[in-house]
Parts: sequence; structure tokens; C-alpha cells
Amino acid sequence: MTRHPYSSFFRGQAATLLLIIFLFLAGCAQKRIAPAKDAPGDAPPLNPAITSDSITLDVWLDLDFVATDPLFQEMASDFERAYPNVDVNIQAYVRETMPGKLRAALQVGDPPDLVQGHALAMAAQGYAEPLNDLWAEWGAEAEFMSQAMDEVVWDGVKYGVPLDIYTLVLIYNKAHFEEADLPYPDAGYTWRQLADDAATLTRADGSRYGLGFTVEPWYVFAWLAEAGGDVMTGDSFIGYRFTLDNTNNVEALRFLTSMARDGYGPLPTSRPRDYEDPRKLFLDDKISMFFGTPWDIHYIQSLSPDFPLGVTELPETPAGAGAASALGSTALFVPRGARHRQIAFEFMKWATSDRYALPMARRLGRYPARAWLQTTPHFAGNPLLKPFLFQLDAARPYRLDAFPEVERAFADAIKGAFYGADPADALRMAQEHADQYMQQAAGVGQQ
Amino acid sequence: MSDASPSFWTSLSDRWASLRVQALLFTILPLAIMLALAVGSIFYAYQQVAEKLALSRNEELARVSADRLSENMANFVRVLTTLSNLDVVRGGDPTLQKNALTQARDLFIDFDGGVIILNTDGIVTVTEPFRPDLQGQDFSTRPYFQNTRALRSFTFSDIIQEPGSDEDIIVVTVPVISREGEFQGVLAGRFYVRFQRIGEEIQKLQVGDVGEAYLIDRNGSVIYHPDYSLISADFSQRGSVFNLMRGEYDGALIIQDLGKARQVVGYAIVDVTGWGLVIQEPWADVVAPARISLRPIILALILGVVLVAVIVSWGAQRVVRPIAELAARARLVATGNYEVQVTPSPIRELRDLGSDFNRMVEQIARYQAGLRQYVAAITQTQEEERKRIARDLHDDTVQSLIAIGQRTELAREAISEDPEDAKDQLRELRKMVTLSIDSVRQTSRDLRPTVLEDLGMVPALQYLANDLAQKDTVDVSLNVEGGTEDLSPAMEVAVYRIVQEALINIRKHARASHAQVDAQFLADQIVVTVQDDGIGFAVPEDTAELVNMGGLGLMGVKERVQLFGGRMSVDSMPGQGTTVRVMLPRNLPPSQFGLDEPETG
Repeated sequence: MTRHPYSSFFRGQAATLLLIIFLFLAGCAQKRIAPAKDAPGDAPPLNPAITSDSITLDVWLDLDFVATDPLFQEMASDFERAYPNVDVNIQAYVRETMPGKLRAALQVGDPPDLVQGHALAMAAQGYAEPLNDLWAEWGAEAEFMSQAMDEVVWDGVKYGVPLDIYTLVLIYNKAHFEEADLPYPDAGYTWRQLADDAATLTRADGSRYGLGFTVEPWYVFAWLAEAGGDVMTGDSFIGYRFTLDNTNNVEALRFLTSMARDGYGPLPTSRPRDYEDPRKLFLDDKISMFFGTPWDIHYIQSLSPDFPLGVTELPETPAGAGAASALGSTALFVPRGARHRQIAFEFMKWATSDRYALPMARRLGRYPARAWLQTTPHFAGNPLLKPFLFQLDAARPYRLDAFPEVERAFADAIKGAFYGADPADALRMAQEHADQYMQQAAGVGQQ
Repeated sequence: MSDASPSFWTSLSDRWASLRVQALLFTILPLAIMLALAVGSIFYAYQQVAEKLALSRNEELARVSADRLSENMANFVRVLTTLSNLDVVRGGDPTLQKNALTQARDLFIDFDGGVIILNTDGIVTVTEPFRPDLQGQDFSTRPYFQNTRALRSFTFSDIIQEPGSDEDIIVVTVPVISREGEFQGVLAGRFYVRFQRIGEEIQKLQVGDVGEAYLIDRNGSVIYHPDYSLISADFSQRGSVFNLMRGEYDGALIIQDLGKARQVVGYAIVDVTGWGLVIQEPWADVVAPARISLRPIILALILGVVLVAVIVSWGAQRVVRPIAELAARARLVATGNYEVQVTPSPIRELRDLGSDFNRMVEQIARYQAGLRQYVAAITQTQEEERKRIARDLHDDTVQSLIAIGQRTELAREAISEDPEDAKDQLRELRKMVTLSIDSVRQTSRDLRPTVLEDLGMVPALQYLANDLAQKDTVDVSLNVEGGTEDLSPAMEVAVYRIVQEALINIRKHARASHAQVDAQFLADQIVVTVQDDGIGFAVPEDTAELVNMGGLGLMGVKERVQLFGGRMSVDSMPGQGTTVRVMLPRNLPPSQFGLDEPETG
């Protein structure tokens, strides 16, 4: 075959040109974002019903979930990749400020599309959109713990998708107990033992206390519930009734505050989020015990892996009743009047999917409200998590935050009790305030 | 080192010296350097301008954002002022004040640390929400209390620590003034720095879209930063914060911390609070649009350079290939192959060069053919000359010598018998010897121009003219100008032979009745013109053709003229006679041509 004398020359030149163009285009190619690290499961299948219009999904998350780890940002990126027309805009706020901000946003008619919080409480105040239809379409209710599902239901209507679940356990410093020649607290630990050990572990010079306290209502509620108390009864059908000043509550609060007043622990500051103070004091070796959550365990182990950490269930009441503790859960819900309800629900499905559930537990210490949580060896086999998993079944739901006015009165009563008021008087005043509130609410309802 | 190395270097050197490489080197390289310099200069200039613009823009952005933030922060003051103007608050009764604040709770929801009232002595008398830990605390030494009391005006604190919890807080205060104008205390709204409520005001400004914006207090501590972990950090050593702390109202600078990207930083004081707002963005983001727009330009430049390289390389190839072919053909010609031809190039100059080469090869071929005929003719002439000489020697000289020998024998025999007869015989012998001498001398004269040696240049030329006139009855006239005294013998022979050949040509071919010989011995050259009125002939374009036309003499003349570095022209037309003109340099050193020795028989 005859070759043109210039053929090899042109081939060489063309190859050079192609190489340059290829390298340029390769440089221009966009980098793909890897899916969230440590992601074991699959994300939900793509939903063809999602609109193709370009939208921005405004998501408000608890700052505690995003401040230290980019998991939710990664999840949002995955979601955006799956739905290229959706731009997820995550805003993070301190949990305690979220209801106020949401109320303000609803008042001006510009709510976000999705919020993280206590769905039940938000629904009770009329801040959340019912999601029964989307739940029915999804059909995944059985995949979630029943306790967690209860936390998103108000008046029989589902208002959110459970994200995580938690309860209170007793966290203690093993070294302190060994130092004081005391046995570690265990499942049979009692209030009296707690008080005695707290007294023993407390140093006279004030350099160390036996127990840490908080005035946070949910934490105190766990103590009251354990003693057989409760803060409200009833349901939407028969109506709700507050029981802030019942005897069990009074005695339980008296016992609790007496320990503080007796000097077994520093007085709580009563500042917002003062439940963080015991953990800080615990890490600083200033207290030997406190009532904490699973994420406190994760936090301590992250900061100090060799910390002599011990965890057990809450102490039994004087009557010997089983530990009740308090159930806590956050969920994702759609605010009333949000513009992208269906896409927001799709985002909830992603956020609560197994793909991000295990990373959320490992990286944040926030345990998914999934039914498999209590049986998966990774969790069930962890001795530090066993008390938490055990107490989930007995934990009592806290619903007082559905009535912020009443909860505020309850909180003030707790603060007052810690700072010298008689618990009975303090709780009675709170009860009166609650009754007054209910009468006003009923009056408004009748009008 | 292997043996291949030298050949490798030789090969590399050959490639380096090739026209194609040189063309690329001296066109593409300067072009690429020029383009690179141009792009570099443009980019540098852009960077300079962009720096100024970015500094100006960020300064302006910081100032405008600080103004807007200041307005937003003033809202907090307005809320507190509204509360402080309530009569029950002005009244100074803590219980009534508490009730008033509880009723107005929604008004100050933004104060995530709640609201407190300090009495005239700086003691906390009211907290909302209920804060038993703060109740009764003495804050009289706090700067915000003292400022507010002294100035009767609002105050924004720097970051301070809350007693008990050690939480970082910001306090906004307004004075509580009674209707009578008396100082009743201070109403203070509190923010937890970690709650980032103030940060939300910065987020509202949306300055974060261009980078990051953070707020620092008068001590350089971070009130808000998009990176949560930096909140409450000490930034007082940062250039922008340092400038703010020393009183600069606004400004901008470019910073590059160790191991971090370059940043453009704008900063300004937030009027109402006295804090500083800093907005910074990576320099890369500032120049990103230019980089994006530069990318196609650079690509175009690269493609342009490559395209030029391809075109130049292709053009060089178009030039090099015919030249290489020409060189190859020339090597073939050097080996004696005169049948080669080069392909016409599309480039005019190369095409002309190729055509000239082809013509040159053809001419050499013809010349070589003529030379071969010339040599053959010369050889034949020499052979005939030898035969003639042999014949002359045999017919004349040898016969004469035989006769002389016989006569000598007769004379020897007669000496004893008849001395008189012997004497006759010897006389006869003498005559015979004389005739033989004449014969040999004639033969010798035919071989070499003894006349030239005997008589000199001019008489020799006259002899030649006379000889032609005598033998062929051609009227020959000779005209000589100039002197011939200093002519070298070789030159004399050359002139003689040239005239001789020209006259022989006339005798053989011209059929002329008259011939004219002009010899001009000028100072620097010799011009010989031989003209006849004979039949003439068509002069070939190439004098080599003369051989083919039987003009061997003229070819000999030409060879001899060229040997002396002269020129010859033949001017003739059929029926119009012939003029042969020869010009020889007079003083050309004959040694150059190996002609030191005069021509001899």
C-alpha cells in the first residue's frame, strides 16, 4: 500500500492536537462528589413524582447535628445529585431557639421547607403539616421504633419522620468510685445509694462533687417519671390535664433538689442549655456522676477515649419501681404552609435512611429511630449503650413542650426549687399557672 | 558508553541542523515565548487591577454591610428602649417590672439569654426568663452598666463571661429613666455567643456569598464566625482586626497566612455597637472569573501555537522535500548519472531551481557527449597524424636513408676502384642527406611551430596568413596592434594555435575568398578576431554542439581559450560568413593552468 509522504506527519500532529484537547477537557471535567463516608445502606429510590422545576429546599437543622460533622451536608449533596433540580440550603440553629424562629417565620408567611425538632410539640402548637398521606404512600412505618413514631403523632395524625431517639442514663466516673472504694452503680442502683454515694464522693473543699444537676425540664421529668410522677395526662379525645404538683412529683423534686442543697453537687446555673454543664464538669473531673444521654457518652469518648467511663440505668425509686427515664426524640417535619412539602418529605426519607443512620450514630452519637437499632450487634453489644437500649422500652414520652407556657412555669418551679423554694410550693404555683392557661385556652376554644 | 552513542549524537545533531527543526525553532519558539510573555503580562496587569478593584470592592462591601448590620443591631436597642419606656418598668418596682417583662416576652424573643433589670446600684432585680442564679448578683462594675449609667445611652458590650456558667455572652443595655428624668437602672438584653443570634443578622446581609464574614468585638474576640469552632476565638493578631482595634474605621488588605490561600479582606466598624465586621474571600475566587475567561484564551493560544507549528512544519516540509530531492539527484549526477530529473515544486523559486538543475544536467550530459566525440576525434586525428608521420618517415626518410645507405655502399666500393666515381657518389650522397634533412625538418615543422620560436609572434601570424593564401588562394590580411614582447611562451603558442585553428577552419569549411585576421595585444587582454566571407553556418546555442557539427577546430579553440580563462564567441549565419572572436587575459599567471612550459613537439 502506498503511503502518502505526509501521512505520518499529519498523524503525529493530529495526535498532539487530540492530546491537548483531551487534557483540556479532562481538566474542565467536574469532580464527582463521593457519597457520605461510612454509608452502609442505599438511599431511597428516586421518586419520579418529584417536580422538575428548580427549587431551593430550605432546611433548618439542630446546630448540634451539624456543628461538628459534615454528615448532613454530605447527605444534602447526595440528595442534590440525585435530584439536580433541587438546591438544599441548610441553616443550623440552637435547638432551644428553633420554635421561636419558626413561629416568627410562620407569622411573616415565609416558613422553611423542613425543620428538625420535636414534631409532636410543634404539631400541638399548629406549626406542622400533616403527613399521613405521604406516610401511607411510603409505607415504612414499621421500620421505625414505635416509641419514636409516637413522638411524631399528635391527635392521631403523623406530622414528621423520626430521625433519632434517646433517653437518660446514669453516667459515672469509675475511677472516682474506685478511689472512694465504692462499688460501681448497676441496674439495681437506688435513689438512696445514689444520694449516699454522692455524699461520699463529694469533697469538703468543693473541688469535687458527687452529682451534677440541671434545671432542664426534660431531664427533671425523667427523675419525676422514675418516681411514678407525671406532668400531664389525658389525650386529645378526653382532653389533657396537667399534674405538675402531684405528690410523686413533689417528693421526687424534693429529693433531687435536696441533694443539691445538701451540697452533693453544684447548683445548676439555670441558664439555657445548662444540661451541658454537668458533662463539662464531669470531663473536668469536678463531678462523679450525672444524668446524661447517649450523645454525651459519644462526646466524652470522642474527647477523651481513655476516660474511665461507666454507664448504667437510672437508679430505682424508693418504692423499687423499675427505671422509667424520659424518652427523647427529634424528627423532621414540614412547617405549616411550606412550599415544597413533597420534596421535603423525600428529603426526610433520605435523611432517615439506613445510608445515613449508621454514620449518624458513629460520627455524631445520635442514634437512629430505626427498629433495628436495639438488635444490631454493633449497638446491642456495646456495654456502654446497653443501659440506653434497655431504658428505651421503659422511657416515658415528654409532651409538656407541646404547651410552652406550662413548660415555662414548670421550668421556673424547678429553678425555684433548686434555689431555695419549697418544691411543693413551686410546683403548686406552676400547676396554678397551668390551670390558668388551660382555662384561657378553653375560653379561646369556646369563643 | 555504548558504541551507539556517537551515532546517536550525530543523528541528533543532524536532526537539529535540519531546515525543518531550524524553521520550527526560529518561528515557533519566539512565537510561543512572545505569546507567553503577552499572556503573562496581561494576567499580571489584570491581577494588579483586580487587586485594586477587589480591595476597593471589599472595603466598600464591608462598610455597606457594617452600616446595614448597624441598622439591624439598632433594632435590638429599639426593643429594649420600648420596654424601658413602659411606666411599670420606669416605676422601679421589681415585681411589676417582672410582670411587665413576662407579658412582653414575645417582644424580646431575640435575646436568647433573656432580659434582666439592674437597679441603680447594678444589682440584678429582675430576670426573664427566671434566672435564680442571676438574681441579686452585683454587676455594678461591669462596663456596660457603668457606661449606660454615665452616658444615659445604650451600650453594646464586648464578649464577657456569664458568672457561674462561664458562657460567653453579649449584653445590650439601655438606661431606665423615670418620668422625672432620674436614672432608675439598666435594662439589659443578653445574647449567648454560641447561639449565634447576632450571626443571623450577618447571614441576613448575605455577604457570605462572596466569602466569609465575621464579627469581632472591641477586644478582637469573635462574636460570630461561619466556622462554629472559631466563635469566641481571639483574632486580635489578625491584620484586619488589628487595624480595627487601633481605630481604623474601614479598610481592606490582602493577606496570606502560612499554608493558607491568599485572602482579600475588607473591614469596617459597626457604628452602633463599636464592633468590627470583617469580610474576606479567597483571592482565587476574585480572579476565578478571569481564570475561567482566560482558559479559552490560553486554549486558543495553545491551539494557535500548535496550528502555527503544524503549518510551519508543513511549509518547511514543502521546502525541504524538494531541496532534499535536489540534493539526492545532485549526488546521482556526481556519480555520473545524467538521466536524473527533479520533480517540479509548487514553490516558484524551487521550481526554477529544479528547472535550472534539470537544464544543467542536460547540458552536462550534452557536454559529456561532445567531449567524448571530441576525444574520439582527437584520438583519430592523432592516429592519422601518426600514420602520416609513419608514412612520411617510411616514404621519405627511410627511403632516403636506404638510398643513402646504398649510395654509401657504392661509394665505398668505388673508393678503391674508381675514386672519381666515389667522389661523385659522395657528392650525390651529400645531396641525398641534404634532402633528407629538409624532409625531416618539414616533418618537424609540421609538428611544432618552429616559426614561432624562430621568428616571433607577429611574423608567425603572418606566416600562417601567407600559408593559407598560398595553399588555398584565399586572400588573407593580417592586422596586428600592440606589442607582444612580454607575452609568455604559453600565451604565444595559444594565440598562434588559435589563429592557426581558425584559419584551418576557413580552409576546410568556409569556402571563403577573403579572410581577415586582427590581433590586438592590449594592456590587459588580447583580442583575436578571425573573420571570413565564407558560407557561414547556424551557430548552436551550446558550443558543445560544434563537435557534433564537425567544428572540432572551434571546439579546440574554445577549450584552449577556457584553459586560459578567456572567452570565445562565434558569430555566423548561413551565407553571411563567420567571425570568431577570442579574448584572453594578458597577464593571467600561466602556472595556474600548469602551462609554465611552452608547447613543444
